[in-house]
Amino acid sequence: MGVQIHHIAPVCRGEVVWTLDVQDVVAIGRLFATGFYDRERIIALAGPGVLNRKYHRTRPGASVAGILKGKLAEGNLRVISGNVLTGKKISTEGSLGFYDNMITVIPEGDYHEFMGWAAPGLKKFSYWRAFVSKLLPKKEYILDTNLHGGHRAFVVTGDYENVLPMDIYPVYLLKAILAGDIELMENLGIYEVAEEDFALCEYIDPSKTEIQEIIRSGINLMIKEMN
Amino acid sequence: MSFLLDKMKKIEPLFKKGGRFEKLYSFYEGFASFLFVPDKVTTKGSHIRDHMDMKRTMTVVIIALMPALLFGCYNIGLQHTRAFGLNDWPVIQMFLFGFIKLLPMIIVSYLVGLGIEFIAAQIRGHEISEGYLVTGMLIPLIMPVDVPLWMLAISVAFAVILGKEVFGGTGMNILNPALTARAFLFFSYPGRMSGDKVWIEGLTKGGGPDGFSGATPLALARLDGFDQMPSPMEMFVGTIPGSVGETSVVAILIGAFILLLTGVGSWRIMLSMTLGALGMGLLLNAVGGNEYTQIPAYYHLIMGGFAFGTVFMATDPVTAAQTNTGKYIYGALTGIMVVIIRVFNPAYPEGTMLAILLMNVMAPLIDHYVVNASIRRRLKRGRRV
Repeated sequence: MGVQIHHIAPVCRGEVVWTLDVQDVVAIGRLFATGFYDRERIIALAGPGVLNRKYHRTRPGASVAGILKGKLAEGNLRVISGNVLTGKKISTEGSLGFYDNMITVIPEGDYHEFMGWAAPGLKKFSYWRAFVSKLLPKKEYILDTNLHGGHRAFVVTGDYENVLPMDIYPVYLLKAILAGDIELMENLGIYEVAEEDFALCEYIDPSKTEIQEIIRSGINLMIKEMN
Repeated sequence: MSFLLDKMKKIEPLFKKGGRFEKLYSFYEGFASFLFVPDKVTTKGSHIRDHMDMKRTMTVVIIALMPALLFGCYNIGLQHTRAFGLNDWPVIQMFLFGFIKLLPMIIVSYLVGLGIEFIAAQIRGHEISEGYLVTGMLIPLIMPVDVPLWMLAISVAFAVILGKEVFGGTGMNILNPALTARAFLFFSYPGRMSGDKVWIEGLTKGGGPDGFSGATPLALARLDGFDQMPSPMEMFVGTIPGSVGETSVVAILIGAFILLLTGVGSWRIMLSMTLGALGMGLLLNAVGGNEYTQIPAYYHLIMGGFAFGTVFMATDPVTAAQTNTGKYIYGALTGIMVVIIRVFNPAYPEGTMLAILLMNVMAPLIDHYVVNASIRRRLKRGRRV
């Protein structure tokens, strides 16, 4: 959504932008048609940890226990309210987030992989062209929650921009936030971003930086400064 | 492999805080994560992460260096047989001769460099960074084969400590560490780093045939004029004296292909640097002046360390320009500087090392203006609203 806002009407200091998703529009329409505020929405139950992937009709805040009952695969799983990039980890008895349209279940990646960094990577989905899977025809991959590496300083350059289609230099903005330089953060476009815009940067990052967390701390710092 | 994993897990407490070897934790962690990708899972932000990590990035570069390394081994042997008139050596013997010469250089480079990295990681409480895996392989490849091992060790220590760790380690350094090592030796021991003897194994120890010159093409051109230079074909294939890994443009192009295919090396820098050097060469050809300006422009691309520097040194993401626009400018200016130093500076026959180091220093400035342009676009937009 941040990308659309950036290209249609970028947010400047002090401005507010409201967003609606399709199901919210339905809820508003229903309110005017029937007089009842009913936020019933259709959500997807997805991910390799679910045996029976399907749509459900439910409401925000509803417990997921009933939806998940009898549908989970074996093994150590993570239930996410929302998608794998920006969703929130919940328990099997947790509830659906206010803005979420899906529940995703993926396997936890708490395993050791022998020389994983050197393996050809036939079954490894990646943004980078350093895995043999890039040469193979499209197929389904199972993504898990392993970090696939250790935390490092920023090293590679130029690829974060590829997955952030805005006129923003992501690494410069992140470094400005880490340095707590308010003016530089403003200049580099902190008003125009939310952590979800940087989710893909975080996903592809070979340095395994917690990018969304840094962006959030930057936004919080700005909010604190302006009040 | 679960046996090995159990073993590693068993000794882990010894290295944890309070354990007997807690001062060696970074060493343990580095070794353990080398053997097994850790079982760490995401705790915040995106729940899934790409399989790409720093180890894999660096591994790709090392694979890309292999053709140059293997050819370098062969070429060490080849140049030795030429200098000493040993015409009956088979190829495999030349290769093994070179390999045995190069192996101690690689071992010393890794021992000294990684040793310092481990200590630095331990002091900072960080995980050991993989940056030196590439640097440690690059350093022997840009040295003359005859460099004494103690000099190599000093230059590695200098480059890693003053070139990298004082700035905060991998990812924070301003100068390319491998070139810092090379430059350190170049200015500290000029007699051992240039001239016409050091490029061939055995010549500095004496015993070479009288009057045999093992000078590199660039030094030859400097000393005896351009008609003494080897043919372009020889320079392209790499059967000439020179630093271990830099001579063969063919082997380096294979490495460039690997880097570009995997996207690890920046095509922007490689392309703009080549065009910059070629353009500057053509310009000098057109202007004329002294005999150095008359050297055919394409010679600059196959002579000396240009190819190696373009593919493996200038593209170092940490020390190059970091914005995509900046990369074009950085690459082009580096290429231009290489030719300018070669042609106009009588003291240094080789300009690639100095040109890249100079542009390493300039890169943040280039980025500053590119980022400022983005800031100005944003401010302008803000005023319009």
